[in-house]
Amino acid sequence: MSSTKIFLKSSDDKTFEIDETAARASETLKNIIDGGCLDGVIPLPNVSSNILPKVIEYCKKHGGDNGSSKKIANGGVDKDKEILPDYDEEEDKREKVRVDELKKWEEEYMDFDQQVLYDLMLAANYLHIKGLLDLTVEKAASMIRGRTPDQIRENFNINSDFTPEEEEEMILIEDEWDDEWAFD
Amino acid sequence: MAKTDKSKKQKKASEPKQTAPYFAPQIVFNILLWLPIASLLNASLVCKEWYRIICDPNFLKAYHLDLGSALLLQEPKLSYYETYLVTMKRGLLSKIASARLCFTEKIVGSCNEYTLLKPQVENSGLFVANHATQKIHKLPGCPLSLGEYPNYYGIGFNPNTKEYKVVCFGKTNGSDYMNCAVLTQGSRTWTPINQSLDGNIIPGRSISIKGFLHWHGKNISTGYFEKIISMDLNNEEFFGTIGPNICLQYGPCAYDLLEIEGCLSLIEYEVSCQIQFEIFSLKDISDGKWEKLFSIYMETKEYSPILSLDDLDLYYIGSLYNGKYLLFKQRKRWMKKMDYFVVDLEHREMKPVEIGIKMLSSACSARFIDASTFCSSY
Repeated sequence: MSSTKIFLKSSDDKTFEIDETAARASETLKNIIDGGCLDGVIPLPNVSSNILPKVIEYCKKHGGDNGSSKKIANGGVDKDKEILPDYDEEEDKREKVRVDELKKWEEEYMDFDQQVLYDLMLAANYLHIKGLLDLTVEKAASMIRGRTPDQIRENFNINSDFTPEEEEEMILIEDEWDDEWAFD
Repeated sequence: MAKTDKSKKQKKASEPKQTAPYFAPQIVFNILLWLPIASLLNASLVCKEWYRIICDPNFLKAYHLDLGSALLLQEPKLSYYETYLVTMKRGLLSKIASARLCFTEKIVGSCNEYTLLKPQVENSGLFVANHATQKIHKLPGCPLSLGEYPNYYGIGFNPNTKEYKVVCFGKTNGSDYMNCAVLTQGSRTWTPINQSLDGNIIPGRSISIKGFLHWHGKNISTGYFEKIISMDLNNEEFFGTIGPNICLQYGPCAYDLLEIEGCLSLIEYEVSCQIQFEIFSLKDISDGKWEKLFSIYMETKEYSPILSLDDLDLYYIGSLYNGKYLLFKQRKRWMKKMDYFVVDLEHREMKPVEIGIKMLSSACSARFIDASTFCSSY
């Protein structure tokens, strides 16, 4: 495993260190590394020093993988040993533990305020870290799901720019949508 | 869902807008793609920009694509099922995180935005997940004595009454007949169906087309396809349909039902030294006249003789875009890994695809549900 160190410079001129393998979780960094333009420090003018450690933490956890709590190649069973297609109770348990552990990690990792969420989303978008983008976007979506427009505005600090008449009109449509069939 | 309380609607114009300037439309667009349909309307009421994004045909297209051309794939684990949503865009398949689908139960049926789920614990009842609202409903207990025998299910949509129905088959100990009960959406009780079915024919995966639910019926002793069991969801009556007269020459074959352009279709496939598919379609369910749509022969690189159905390496998984693309998995016996490929029916092309799901052996073959009509009722 390569342990080449990469140095990243945040928008406010602070330098952070990251393993190359971890950095490869980011498509953008991966391209820079593979492009061979690696003299010294990679400047990241869109990512501040508040956010960059958080991004690095994610990359470290996810190494070369870019999924979220999805499968990561069997924890190093890469030695061309058989990957048995048969039911392996032990492996299944390990896999469940691993997924549970990762989900727990993600839960703790994602426990931050909204400003961080926006910044992280932006950083993930800029650095093309698919798994992190999915995580942050999903979290933002969860702040919308099942909420009233007022609650959503509050969550995102948005002011309504609809006139009361426009809103009145649109709520009528809403009632039709609400007519949902319940099974129980 | 809570209604917007008008009394709360004080304008907060005096407060400065704190939305970060980089909360760009593109990011909003991405976030909104993750919402269930039921939340989209409220989101569109938030502000003009969000409204504009949601009403933009590009958004609707992306949203629909996300759902409309998707397959739910499940990978069986010992204690749970991992569910993936596989979508196809521009001919490429991609597996996306299953954050929108938070369940670990086995999918036993699927119709539009509804998925019928069966927990691993016997007799704990069935669940229906609505992917549009992301709600999971527990169904009332079924009157059939379940548990001893395997049970079979289906969920279908009746366009005449605009109701969904869940159908459950079961066989009591020692009986030669299969009993059946139906639960109509909104009802709390299952209705037993008087008609009993031949217990020697096992219903397979179900498919709901134009007010009918069809099961591919397999003979319990031969293991071969025998006939299609169909239920008219209007009158809840069963009838059987004999399959097309197929005679592929080499080795055992497998069958599956699919929907191609709104018609019940049957795919028969086999692999020996070549991959061979025949696809038939039934335009009118009442006349039982099958029309051969495709007959595809493709050379495979590796030769492996097939001795019995259990050896069959090729499995149909599901269809995308209304039957335009078919997804298959192939088990490479010596390499112990799964290969996936997509068959483009129109162009008669077969392309390998990467999905990245390690599938298990045929003995515990995954349940693949064609959810290609996801949300189509919206």
